Amino acid sequence: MSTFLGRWPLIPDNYCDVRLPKNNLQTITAHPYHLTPFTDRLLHIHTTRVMTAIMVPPSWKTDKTCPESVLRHAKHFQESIQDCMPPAFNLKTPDMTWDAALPSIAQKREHLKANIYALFASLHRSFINPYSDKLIKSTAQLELAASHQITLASACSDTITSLIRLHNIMGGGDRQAFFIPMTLIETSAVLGMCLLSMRRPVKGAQYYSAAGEAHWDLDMQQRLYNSFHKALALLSTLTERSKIAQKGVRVLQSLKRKVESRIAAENDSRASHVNREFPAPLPIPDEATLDDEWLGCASPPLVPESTSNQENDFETNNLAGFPNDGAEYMESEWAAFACSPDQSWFFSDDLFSVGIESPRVIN
Amino acid sequence: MRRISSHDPDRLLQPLNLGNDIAKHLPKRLVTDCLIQFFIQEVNWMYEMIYPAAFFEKYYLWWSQPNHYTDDDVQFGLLILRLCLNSLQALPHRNHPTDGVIDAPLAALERGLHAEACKLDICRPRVSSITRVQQLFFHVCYLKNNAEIKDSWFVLSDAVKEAHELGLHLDDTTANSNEFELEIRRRVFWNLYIWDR
Repeated sequence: MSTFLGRWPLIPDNYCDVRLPKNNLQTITAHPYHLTPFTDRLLHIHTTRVMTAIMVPPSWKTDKTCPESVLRHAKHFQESIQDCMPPAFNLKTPDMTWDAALPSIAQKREHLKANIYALFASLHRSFINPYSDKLIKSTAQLELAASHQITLASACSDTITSLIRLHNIMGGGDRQAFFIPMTLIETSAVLGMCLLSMRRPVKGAQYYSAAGEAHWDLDMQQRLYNSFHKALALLSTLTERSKIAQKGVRVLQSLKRKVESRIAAENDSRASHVNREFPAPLPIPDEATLDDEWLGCASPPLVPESTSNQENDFETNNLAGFPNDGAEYMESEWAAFACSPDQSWFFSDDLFSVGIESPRVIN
Repeated sequence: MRRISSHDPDRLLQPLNLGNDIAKHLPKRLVTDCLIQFFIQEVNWMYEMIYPAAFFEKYYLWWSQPNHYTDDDVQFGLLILRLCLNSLQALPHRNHPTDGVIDAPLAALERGLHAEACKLDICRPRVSSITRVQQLFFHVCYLKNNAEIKDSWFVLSDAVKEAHELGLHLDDTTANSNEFELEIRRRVFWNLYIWDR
């Protein structure tokens, strides 16, 4: 809670001298590894300690906006946590041998997965809009920052998938809970912002990741949009009893409209160019030949230069994408979101007070 | 209910005889059993803060007592209430069937239990206990689920202070605790740690 509320911890790390729990009560199996009803809690503890070691030091303030530092921390996260899961809690291919012996393990697994993916996403949170001139110092950094955006959006999508599975395993319904609605709100807000700020290629040029793959992947974008849509759909089902879900749906309405409008414009543009041969991709220009337009670092135009031609002329779309007010929208309406620790924006914004007098959301 | 204060001189001379009074703060035994069972089966998996075997041993003993003399008895009664409240929040929907066990509307029952818990909670115990830390932990859960984040943060700080008072942040090498008790102490501390972060 201290991390997402932006407060100092109540339990200082250097003041504690107590061992971890032993994980030896109600043992389901001791070979080849210990599995008990408390195993997942130990993994939560371990994950929390790794994240604390990354985010608590003062260096995180600068590290979080540095693409190279974030890459280093992400690798450390993967090696320390994701690669070390015991088989029953493996993130991709879990061993379900003991599921019958421990019936709650299915929801424990999804709860842990959702938490891990959400924390992994939070490492990359500063790259919601990697094309901001605050972040980009060079072409190499632009590539890395753009790939962090993709990683961030994908991690949000994975989180949402786990949350939906968890909700279904728990029997559905509209429980009055904290974890599912709150995590849905944070991840869908981040994902929606990524979808708005994702850039399309300019005149045949494409951004390449370090692995040589084009960033602009329409299938991926569709997948991410589907995740965004599913997250909001699940959140809406929780509004009957959850004040958090009620506020979340209300707050995310404007973001949802912006994202849908962008996706619709993208689909129209795609449809009008389906028979055109795209020009062969050009290599990424040297830094010396870059200008502000290519980087998108200069102030984007407030409105598209020609909205009537936008749908019919792929090549003349400018770098800011379409609709061009994505960056403006983000700055004006979501400024607090971008600056605050992960979830404190949701609770600190006085305009969106959570209370019994809050109007019920009607879709 | 007469306000109980740790500085109340009468309290030092007479044993607390709140047996009937404490029971009046809880729902009927059948309802409590139903909600506690639901909690252990459907809610406890998330934090594993309650060790079922040890809890039920104490639970049945508590109900069999004619009186509740100690602070821990009151705190355990509070813990029962907190678990019932968390169960009510975790029911899949407001009209979830309870096989006729709960005949009141669930929202009204929740409000009633919350009010009773508030009444019992004014009795701050003289001595901290694991039970107190546990009931505060579940009070935090309840408040977070209810989107009362600021209040949950304050209660979490109370829970941490109680844990500090108990020395949960240190390996208990001097106390006469058996291995099981030490393990429970560690689990309670580290669950608080996760929530604090």
